[in-house]
Amino acid sequence: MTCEELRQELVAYQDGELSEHDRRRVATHLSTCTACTQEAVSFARVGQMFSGMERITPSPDFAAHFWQRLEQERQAEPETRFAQWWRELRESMTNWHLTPAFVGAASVLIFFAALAQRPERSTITSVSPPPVGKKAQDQSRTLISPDRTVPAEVTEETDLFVEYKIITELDKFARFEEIAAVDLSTEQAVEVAEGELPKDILDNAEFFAQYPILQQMERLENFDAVLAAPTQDEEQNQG
Amino acid sequence: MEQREPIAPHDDTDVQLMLRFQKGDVGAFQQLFQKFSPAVVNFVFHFLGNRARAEEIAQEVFLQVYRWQTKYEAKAKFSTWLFKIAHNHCLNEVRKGEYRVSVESLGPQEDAEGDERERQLPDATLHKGEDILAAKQAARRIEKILRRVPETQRTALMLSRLEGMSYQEVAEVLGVTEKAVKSLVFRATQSLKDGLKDIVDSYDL
Repeated sequence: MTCEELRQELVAYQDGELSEHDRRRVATHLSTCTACTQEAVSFARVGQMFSGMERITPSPDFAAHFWQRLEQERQAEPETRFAQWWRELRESMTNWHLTPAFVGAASVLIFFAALAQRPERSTITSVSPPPVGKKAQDQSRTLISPDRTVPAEVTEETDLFVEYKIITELDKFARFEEIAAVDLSTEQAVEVAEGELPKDILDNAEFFAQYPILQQMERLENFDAVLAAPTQDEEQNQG
Repeated sequence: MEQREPIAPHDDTDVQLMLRFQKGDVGAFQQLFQKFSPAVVNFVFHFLGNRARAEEIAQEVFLQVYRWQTKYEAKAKFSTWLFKIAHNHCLNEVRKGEYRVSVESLGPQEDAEGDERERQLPDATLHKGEDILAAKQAARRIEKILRRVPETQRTALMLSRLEGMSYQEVAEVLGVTEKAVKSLVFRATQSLKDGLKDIVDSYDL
Protein backbone atom coordinates (compact mmCIF):
# COMPACT_ATOMS: atom_id res chain seq x y z
CA MET A 1 0.00 0.00 0.00
CA THR A 2 1.51 3.30 -1.07
CA CYS A 3 1.20 6.44 1.00
CA GLU A 4 -1.19 7.93 -1.56
CA GLU A 5 -3.45 4.86 -1.44
CA LEU A 6 -3.33 4.81 2.33
CA ARG A 7 -4.33 8.45 2.70
CA GLN A 8 -7.57 7.78 0.88
CA GLU A 9 -8.39 5.20 3.54
CA LEU A 10 -7.59 7.40 6.53
CA VAL A 11 -11.01 9.01 6.99
CA ALA A 12 -12.84 5.67 6.75
CA TYR A 13 -10.21 4.23 9.13
CA GLN A 14 -10.92 6.92 11.68
CA ASP A 15 -14.66 6.45 11.18
CA GLY A 16 -14.34 2.74 11.95
CA GLU A 17 -15.66 1.88 8.51
CA LEU A 18 -12.85 -0.35 7.24
CA SER A 19 -12.86 -4.12 7.27
CA GLU A 20 -10.62 -5.75 9.87
CA HIS A 21 -8.13 -6.65 7.14
CA ASP A 22 -7.89 -3.10 5.79
CA ARG A 23 -7.84 -1.64 9.28
CA ARG A 24 -4.76 -3.70 10.13
CA ARG A 25 -3.02 -2.70 6.91
CA VAL A 26 -3.56 0.98 7.67
CA ALA A 27 -2.48 0.59 11.29
CA THR A 28 0.70 -1.22 10.25
CA HIS A 29 1.53 1.47 7.70
CA LEU A 30 0.93 4.26 10.19
CA SER A 31 3.24 2.62 12.72
CA THR A 32 6.15 3.05 10.32
CA CYS A 33 5.32 6.19 8.29
CA THR A 34 5.65 9.58 9.96
CA ALA A 35 4.24 11.53 7.02
CA CYS A 36 1.04 9.50 6.90
CA THR A 37 0.71 9.69 10.68
CA GLN A 38 0.86 13.47 10.43
CA GLU A 39 -1.78 13.36 7.71
CA ALA A 40 -3.95 11.20 9.95
CA VAL A 41 -3.61 13.73 12.76
CA SER A 42 -4.68 16.51 10.39
CA PHE A 43 -7.76 14.54 9.30
CA ALA A 44 -8.61 13.84 12.92
CA ARG A 45 -8.41 17.56 13.75
CA VAL A 46 -10.66 18.47 10.86
CA GLY A 47 -13.09 15.77 11.95
CA GLN A 48 -13.10 17.12 15.50
CA MET A 49 -13.65 20.69 14.33
CA PHE A 50 -16.52 19.64 12.09
CA SER A 51 -18.19 17.38 14.64
CA GLY A 52 -17.87 20.17 17.20
CA MET A 53 -19.86 22.61 15.09
CA GLU A 54 -22.76 24.22 16.82
CA ARG A 55 -26.04 22.34 16.53
CA ILE A 56 -28.77 24.86 16.04
CA THR A 57 -32.03 24.27 17.81
CA PRO A 58 -35.41 25.14 16.32
CA SER A 59 -36.87 28.47 17.35
CA PRO A 60 -39.42 28.38 20.22
CA ASP A 61 -42.44 28.68 17.92
CA PHE A 62 -41.19 26.11 15.42
CA ALA A 63 -43.31 23.21 16.66
CA ALA A 64 -46.41 25.34 17.18
CA HIS A 65 -46.07 26.73 13.68
CA PHE A 66 -45.75 23.23 12.24
CA TRP A 67 -48.89 21.90 13.95
CA GLN A 68 -50.71 25.03 12.81
CA ARG A 69 -49.66 24.38 9.20
CA LEU A 70 -50.69 20.75 9.48
CA GLU A 71 -54.06 21.66 10.95
CA GLN A 72 -54.65 24.23 8.21
CA GLU A 73 -53.88 21.62 5.62
CA ARG A 74 -56.21 19.11 7.23
CA GLN A 75 -59.04 21.62 7.55
CA ALA A 76 -58.63 22.97 4.06
CA GLU A 77 -61.44 22.20 1.69
CA PRO A 78 -61.22 18.62 0.50
CA GLU A 79 -59.07 18.35 -2.57
CA THR A 80 -60.67 17.44 -5.80
CA ARG A 81 -59.56 14.04 -6.89
CA PHE A 82 -57.56 15.62 -9.70
CA ALA A 83 -55.83 17.95 -7.27
CA GLN A 84 -54.98 15.05 -4.98
CA TRP A 85 -53.63 13.02 -7.88
CA TRP A 86 -51.62 15.96 -9.19
CA ARG A 87 -50.16 16.76 -5.74
CA GLU A 88 -49.12 13.17 -5.18
CA LEU A 89 -47.63 13.06 -8.63
CA ARG A 90 -45.60 16.21 -7.95
CA GLU A 91 -44.47 14.79 -4.62
CA SER A 92 -43.35 11.57 -6.23
CA MET A 93 -41.43 13.65 -8.74
CA THR A 94 -39.71 15.48 -5.93
CA ASN A 95 -38.38 12.10 -5.00
CA TRP A 96 -37.02 11.73 -8.51
CA HIS A 97 -35.32 15.13 -8.29
CA LEU A 98 -37.42 16.39 -11.17
CA THR A 99 -37.54 20.13 -11.49
CA PRO A 100 -40.49 22.49 -11.58
CA ALA A 101 -39.70 23.21 -15.22
CA PHE A 102 -40.34 19.58 -16.11
CA VAL A 103 -43.46 19.38 -13.99
CA GLY A 104 -44.75 22.48 -15.73
CA ALA A 105 -44.02 21.05 -19.16
CA ALA A 106 -45.65 17.77 -18.23
CA SER A 107 -48.75 19.51 -16.93
CA VAL A 108 -49.15 21.23 -20.28
CA LEU A 109 -48.83 17.87 -22.02
CA ILE A 110 -51.43 16.30 -19.78
CA PHE A 111 -53.79 19.19 -20.21
CA PHE A 112 -53.70 19.07 -23.99
CA ALA A 113 -53.74 15.30 -24.03
CA ALA A 114 -56.83 15.33 -21.87
CA LEU A 115 -58.54 17.75 -24.22
CA ALA A 116 -57.53 15.77 -27.27
CA GLN A 117 -58.60 12.43 -25.91
CA ARG A 118 -61.86 13.59 -24.37
CA PRO A 119 -63.34 16.14 -26.76
CA GLU A 120 -66.72 15.83 -25.09
CA ARG A 121 -65.24 17.36 -21.96
CA SER A 122 -63.64 20.75 -21.95
CA THR A 123 -62.18 21.36 -18.49
CA ILE A 124 -59.13 20.02 -16.76
CA THR A 125 -61.28 18.61 -13.99
CA SER A 126 -62.63 16.17 -16.52
CA VAL A 127 -59.40 14.18 -16.33
CA SER A 128 -60.26 10.98 -14.55
CA PRO A 129 -57.28 10.17 -12.35
CA PRO A 130 -56.37 6.65 -11.45
CA PRO A 131 -56.92 5.54 -7.87
CA VAL A 132 -54.15 6.65 -5.57
CA GLY A 133 -52.68 5.94 -2.16
CA LYS A 134 -54.07 3.23 0.04
CA LYS A 135 -57.19 2.95 -2.03
CA ALA A 136 -55.09 2.23 -5.08
CA GLN A 137 -53.16 -0.41 -3.22
CA ASP A 138 -56.33 -2.05 -2.00
CA GLN A 139 -57.81 -1.98 -5.46
CA SER A 140 -54.71 -3.28 -7.11
CA ARG A 141 -54.60 -6.20 -4.73
CA THR A 142 -58.14 -7.13 -5.56
CA LEU A 143 -58.22 -6.25 -9.24
CA ILE A 144 -54.81 -7.22 -10.54
CA SER A 145 -54.56 -10.79 -11.65
CA PRO A 146 -51.11 -10.74 -13.16
CA ASP A 147 -50.25 -13.14 -15.87
CA ARG A 148 -47.11 -15.15 -15.23
CA THR A 149 -44.89 -12.97 -17.36
CA VAL A 150 -45.45 -9.92 -15.23
CA PRO A 151 -42.87 -9.56 -12.44
CA ALA A 152 -43.83 -8.83 -8.87
CA GLU A 153 -42.29 -5.38 -9.06
CA VAL A 154 -45.05 -4.40 -11.45
CA THR A 155 -47.91 -5.56 -9.29
CA GLU A 156 -46.31 -4.16 -6.17
CA GLU A 157 -45.47 -0.76 -7.65
CA THR A 158 -48.98 0.60 -7.38
CA ASP A 159 -47.61 4.15 -7.42
CA LEU A 160 -46.82 3.60 -11.04
CA PHE A 161 -50.50 3.57 -11.77
CA VAL A 162 -50.50 7.14 -10.56
CA GLU A 163 -47.55 8.01 -12.74
CA TYR A 164 -48.78 6.06 -15.71
CA LYS A 165 -50.54 8.86 -17.47
CA ILE A 166 -47.76 11.39 -17.27
CA ILE A 167 -45.06 8.96 -18.25
CA THR A 168 -46.96 7.66 -21.21
CA GLU A 169 -47.45 11.20 -22.38
CA LEU A 170 -43.75 11.14 -23.15
CA ASP A 171 -44.58 8.73 -25.95
CA LYS A 172 -45.68 11.78 -27.80
CA PHE A 173 -42.11 13.02 -28.10
CA ALA A 174 -40.84 12.06 -31.50
CA ARG A 175 -38.09 9.42 -31.25
CA PHE A 176 -39.04 8.60 -27.64
CA GLU A 177 -38.37 4.89 -28.09
CA GLU A 178 -34.96 5.64 -29.52
CA ILE A 179 -34.14 7.95 -26.62
CA ALA A 180 -35.49 5.59 -23.99
CA ALA A 181 -33.36 2.78 -25.40
CA VAL A 182 -30.01 4.48 -24.83
CA ASP A 183 -28.04 5.01 -21.67
CA LEU A 184 -28.84 8.59 -20.80
CA SER A 185 -25.63 9.05 -18.89
CA THR A 186 -23.58 8.80 -22.08
CA GLU A 187 -22.62 11.40 -24.63
CA GLN A 188 -24.39 9.28 -27.22
CA ALA A 189 -27.64 9.87 -25.39
CA VAL A 190 -27.13 13.59 -25.41
CA GLU A 191 -26.57 13.49 -29.15
CA VAL A 192 -29.67 11.37 -29.69
CA ALA A 193 -31.92 13.36 -27.45
CA GLU A 194 -30.53 16.85 -27.91
CA GLY A 195 -33.10 19.23 -29.20
CA GLU A 196 -35.83 16.69 -28.56
CA LEU A 197 -36.21 16.58 -24.81
CA PRO A 198 -35.78 19.33 -22.24
CA LYS A 199 -32.51 19.15 -20.34
CA ASP A 200 -34.48 18.63 -17.12
CA ILE A 201 -35.64 15.28 -18.41
CA LEU A 202 -32.23 14.31 -19.73
CA ASP A 203 -30.82 14.91 -16.27
CA ASN A 204 -33.21 12.37 -14.78
CA ALA A 205 -32.37 9.09 -16.38
CA GLU A 206 -34.25 7.12 -13.76
CA PHE A 207 -37.44 8.51 -15.22
CA PHE A 208 -36.86 6.46 -18.34
CA ALA A 209 -36.06 3.42 -16.25
CA GLN A 210 -39.74 3.33 -15.31
CA TYR A 211 -40.81 3.00 -18.90
CA PRO A 212 -40.17 -0.73 -19.44
CA ILE A 213 -42.10 -1.46 -16.25
CA LEU A 214 -44.99 0.60 -17.51
CA GLN A 215 -44.96 -1.31 -20.74
CA GLN A 216 -45.28 -4.52 -18.74
CA MET A 217 -48.09 -3.03 -16.69
CA GLU A 218 -50.02 -2.53 -19.87
CA ARG A 219 -49.88 -6.27 -20.43
CA LEU A 220 -51.88 -6.98 -17.30
CA GLU A 221 -55.11 -8.61 -18.34
CA ASN A 222 -57.27 -6.12 -16.53
CA PHE A 223 -54.99 -3.10 -16.61
CA ASP A 224 -57.69 -0.84 -17.99
CA ALA A 225 -60.05 -1.97 -15.26
CA VAL A 226 -57.52 -1.11 -12.56
CA LEU A 227 -56.72 2.24 -14.10
CA ALA A 228 -60.36 3.12 -14.50
CA ALA A 229 -61.57 1.60 -11.25
CA PRO A 230 -63.84 4.02 -9.42
CA THR A 231 -62.64 5.40 -6.13
CA GLN A 232 -64.53 4.93 -2.91
CA ASP A 233 -66.17 8.33 -3.36
CA GLU A 234 -67.41 7.42 -6.78
CA GLU A 235 -68.74 4.13 -5.53
CA GLN A 236 -70.63 5.95 -2.81
CA ASN A 237 -72.01 8.49 -5.28
CA GLN A 238 -73.10 5.74 -7.57
CA GLY A 239 -74.68 3.91 -4.68
CA MET B 1 -15.94 -2.01 3.58
CA GLU B 2 -16.69 -3.28 7.00
CA GLN B 3 -19.51 -5.78 6.98
CA ARG B 4 -21.93 -4.76 9.65
CA GLU B 5 -24.91 -6.71 10.82
CA PRO B 6 -27.86 -5.37 8.83
CA ILE B 7 -30.50 -3.70 10.93
CA ALA B 8 -33.87 -5.38 10.84
CA PRO B 9 -36.25 -2.48 10.18
CA HIS B 10 -38.88 -3.84 12.53
CA ASP B 11 -36.37 -3.71 15.40
CA ASP B 12 -36.14 0.04 14.95
CA THR B 13 -38.43 1.71 17.48
CA ASP B 14 -38.92 4.62 15.10
CA VAL B 15 -40.16 2.22 12.43
CA GLN B 16 -42.63 0.91 15.00
CA LEU B 17 -43.84 4.46 15.60
CA MET B 18 -44.28 5.05 11.88
CA LEU B 19 -46.21 1.81 11.50
CA ARG B 20 -48.44 2.85 14.39
CA PHE B 21 -48.98 6.19 12.67
CA GLN B 22 -49.97 4.35 9.50
CA LYS B 23 -52.69 2.67 11.52
CA GLY B 24 -54.02 6.03 12.63
CA ASP B 25 -52.06 6.75 15.81
CA VAL B 26 -51.32 10.47 15.42
CA GLY B 27 -49.56 10.44 18.79
CA ALA B 28 -46.88 8.25 17.21
CA PHE B 29 -46.35 10.89 14.54
CA GLN B 30 -46.05 13.53 17.25
CA GLN B 31 -43.33 11.47 18.92
CA LEU B 32 -41.44 11.17 15.65
CA PHE B 33 -41.74 14.91 15.06
CA GLN B 34 -40.52 15.68 18.56
CA LYS B 35 -37.59 13.31 18.28
CA PHE B 36 -36.36 14.14 14.78
CA SER B 37 -37.36 17.73 14.03
CA PRO B 38 -34.31 19.30 15.74
CA ALA B 39 -31.99 17.04 13.73
CA VAL B 40 -33.79 17.83 10.48
CA VAL B 41 -33.67 21.59 11.15
CA ASN B 42 -29.97 21.28 11.93
CA PHE B 43 -29.31 19.24 8.79
CA VAL B 44 -31.17 21.64 6.51
CA PHE B 45 -29.52 24.64 8.16
CA HIS B 46 -26.01 23.31 7.60
CA PHE B 47 -26.94 22.30 4.06
CA LEU B 48 -28.37 25.69 3.08
CA GLY B 49 -26.89 28.11 5.58
CA ASN B 50 -30.20 29.90 6.05
CA ARG B 51 -31.92 29.43 9.37
CA ALA B 52 -35.37 30.82 8.57
CA ARG B 53 -35.61 28.78 5.40
CA ALA B 54 -34.24 25.73 7.22
CA GLU B 55 -37.20 25.78 9.60
CA GLU B 56 -39.70 26.17 6.77
CA ILE B 57 -38.18 23.31 4.81
CA ALA B 58 -37.98 21.09 7.90
CA GLN B 59 -41.70 21.67 8.36
CA GLU B 60 -42.32 20.75 4.74
CA VAL B 61 -40.34 17.55 5.28
CA PHE B 62 -42.65 16.53 8.13
CA LEU B 63 -45.74 17.57 6.19
CA GLN B 64 -44.50 15.21 3.49
CA VAL B 65 -44.06 12.43 6.04
CA TYR B 66 -47.64 13.05 7.15
CA ARG B 67 -48.98 12.99 3.59
CA TRP B 68 -46.91 9.95 2.64
CA GLN B 69 -47.88 7.85 5.63
CA THR B 70 -49.56 5.29 3.41
CA LYS B 71 -46.55 5.09 1.09
CA TYR B 72 -44.06 4.30 3.83
CA GLU B 73 -42.64 0.79 3.80
CA ALA B 74 -40.57 -0.58 6.66
CA LYS B 75 -37.61 -1.54 4.50
CA ALA B 76 -34.97 0.42 6.40
CA LYS B 77 -34.53 2.58 9.45
CA PHE B 78 -37.06 5.40 9.68
CA SER B 79 -34.26 7.97 9.94
CA THR B 80 -32.81 7.04 6.54
CA TRP B 81 -36.23 7.50 4.92
CA LEU B 82 -36.69 10.82 6.70
CA PHE B 83 -33.29 12.20 5.73
CA LYS B 84 -33.79 11.05 2.16
CA ILE B 85 -36.85 13.29 2.03
CA ALA B 86 -34.91 16.11 3.71
CA HIS B 87 -31.98 15.73 1.29
CA ASN B 88 -34.35 15.88 -1.70
CA HIS B 89 -36.03 19.00 -0.35
CA CYS B 90 -32.61 20.61 0.08
CA LEU B 91 -31.63 19.72 -3.47
CA ASN B 92 -34.83 21.24 -4.81
CA GLU B 93 -34.16 24.36 -2.78
CA VAL B 94 -30.61 24.90 -4.03
CA ARG B 95 -31.70 24.25 -7.60
CA LYS B 96 -33.81 27.37 -7.41
CA GLY B 97 -30.48 29.13 -7.90
CA GLU B 98 -30.69 31.64 -5.06
CA TYR B 99 -28.11 29.84 -2.97
CA ARG B 100 -25.53 29.65 -5.74
CA VAL B 101 -25.48 33.43 -5.97
CA SER B 102 -25.29 33.96 -2.24
CA VAL B 103 -22.44 31.49 -1.80
CA GLU B 104 -20.43 32.95 -4.65
CA SER B 105 -20.74 36.40 -3.16
CA LEU B 106 -19.53 35.29 0.24
CA GLY B 107 -16.28 37.04 0.89
CA PRO B 108 -14.50 37.46 4.21
CA GLN B 109 -16.33 40.70 4.96
CA GLU B 110 -19.65 39.81 3.40
CA ASP B 111 -20.96 37.10 5.66
CA ALA B 112 -23.74 39.10 7.27
CA GLU B 113 -25.12 36.12 9.12
CA GLY B 114 -21.70 35.40 10.53
CA ASP B 115 -21.24 38.99 11.61
CA GLU B 116 -24.55 38.82 13.39
CA ARG B 117 -23.44 35.67 15.21
CA GLU B 118 -20.25 37.42 16.21
CA ARG B 119 -22.18 40.30 17.74
CA GLN B 120 -24.05 37.77 19.83
CA LEU B 121 -20.89 36.25 21.22
CA PRO B 122 -20.56 36.24 24.98
CA ASP B 123 -18.05 38.62 26.51
CA ALA B 124 -14.81 37.15 25.27
CA THR B 125 -12.77 38.41 28.18
CA LEU B 126 -14.95 36.44 30.57
CA HIS B 127 -14.92 33.16 28.66
CA LYS B 128 -11.43 32.43 27.45
CA GLY B 129 -12.28 34.87 24.72
CA GLU B 130 -9.58 34.02 22.22
CA ASP B 131 -10.46 30.34 22.15
CA ILE B 132 -14.14 31.02 21.76
CA LEU B 133 -13.54 33.56 19.06
CA ALA B 134 -11.20 31.22 17.22
CA ALA B 135 -13.74 28.41 17.42
CA LYS B 136 -16.49 30.65 16.10
CA GLN B 137 -14.34 31.86 13.25
CA ALA B 138 -13.38 28.30 12.39
CA ALA B 139 -17.06 27.31 12.42
CA ARG B 140 -17.87 30.14 10.01
CA ARG B 141 -15.12 29.02 7.67
CA ILE B 142 -16.34 25.44 7.85
CA GLU B 143 -19.83 26.62 6.91
CA LYS B 144 -18.46 28.47 3.90
CA ILE B 145 -16.35 25.55 2.72
CA LEU B 146 -19.24 23.17 3.31
CA ARG B 147 -21.52 25.07 0.98
CA ARG B 148 -18.89 25.03 -1.73
CA VAL B 149 -18.44 21.25 -1.80
CA PRO B 150 -20.78 19.25 -4.06
CA GLU B 151 -24.16 18.53 -2.52
CA THR B 152 -23.79 14.78 -2.19
CA GLN B 153 -20.41 15.17 -0.50
CA ARG B 154 -21.97 17.70 1.86
CA THR B 155 -24.85 15.42 2.78
CA ALA B 156 -22.58 12.40 3.18
CA LEU B 157 -20.29 14.30 5.53
CA MET B 158 -23.11 15.85 7.56
CA LEU B 159 -25.02 12.62 8.03
CA SER B 160 -21.88 10.74 8.94
CA ARG B 161 -20.40 13.34 11.29
CA LEU B 162 -23.34 15.29 12.66
CA GLU B 163 -26.02 12.58 12.71
CA GLY B 164 -23.67 9.70 13.44
CA MET B 165 -24.95 7.55 10.60
CA SER B 166 -22.89 4.62 9.36
CA TYR B 167 -21.69 4.64 5.75
CA GLN B 168 -24.31 1.98 5.06
CA GLU B 169 -27.09 4.25 6.31
CA VAL B 170 -25.74 7.23 4.39
CA ALA B 171 -25.65 5.04 1.29
CA GLU B 172 -29.35 4.27 1.76
CA VAL B 173 -30.18 7.95 2.07
CA LEU B 174 -28.25 8.90 -1.06
CA GLY B 175 -29.09 5.78 -3.05
CA VAL B 176 -25.41 5.01 -3.68
CA THR B 177 -22.99 2.28 -2.63
CA GLU B 178 -21.05 2.27 0.63
CA LYS B 179 -17.88 2.53 -1.41
CA ALA B 180 -19.21 5.71 -2.98
CA VAL B 181 -20.02 7.10 0.47
CA LYS B 182 -16.48 6.36 1.60
CA SER B 183 -15.19 8.39 -1.33
CA LEU B 184 -17.70 11.22 -0.78
CA VAL B 185 -16.83 11.57 2.90
CA PHE B 186 -13.11 11.46 2.13
CA ARG B 187 -13.31 14.13 -0.56
CA ALA B 188 -15.45 16.42 1.61
CA THR B 189 -13.03 16.02 4.53
CA GLN B 190 -10.10 16.67 2.21
CA SER B 191 -11.77 19.91 1.05
CA LEU B 192 -12.21 20.97 4.66
CA LYS B 193 -8.62 20.10 5.44
CA ASP B 194 -7.37 22.14 2.51
CA GLY B 195 -9.59 25.09 3.39
CA LEU B 196 -8.59 25.05 7.06
CA LYS B 197 -4.91 24.35 6.43
CA ASP B 198 -3.65 27.34 8.41
CA ILE B 199 -5.69 26.36 11.47
CA VAL B 200 -4.88 22.67 11.21
CA ASP B 201 -1.16 23.42 10.83
CA SER B 202 -1.17 25.81 13.77
CA TYR B 203 -1.88 23.01 16.24
CA ASP B 204 1.15 21.72 18.04
CA LEU B 205 2.03 18.21 17.11
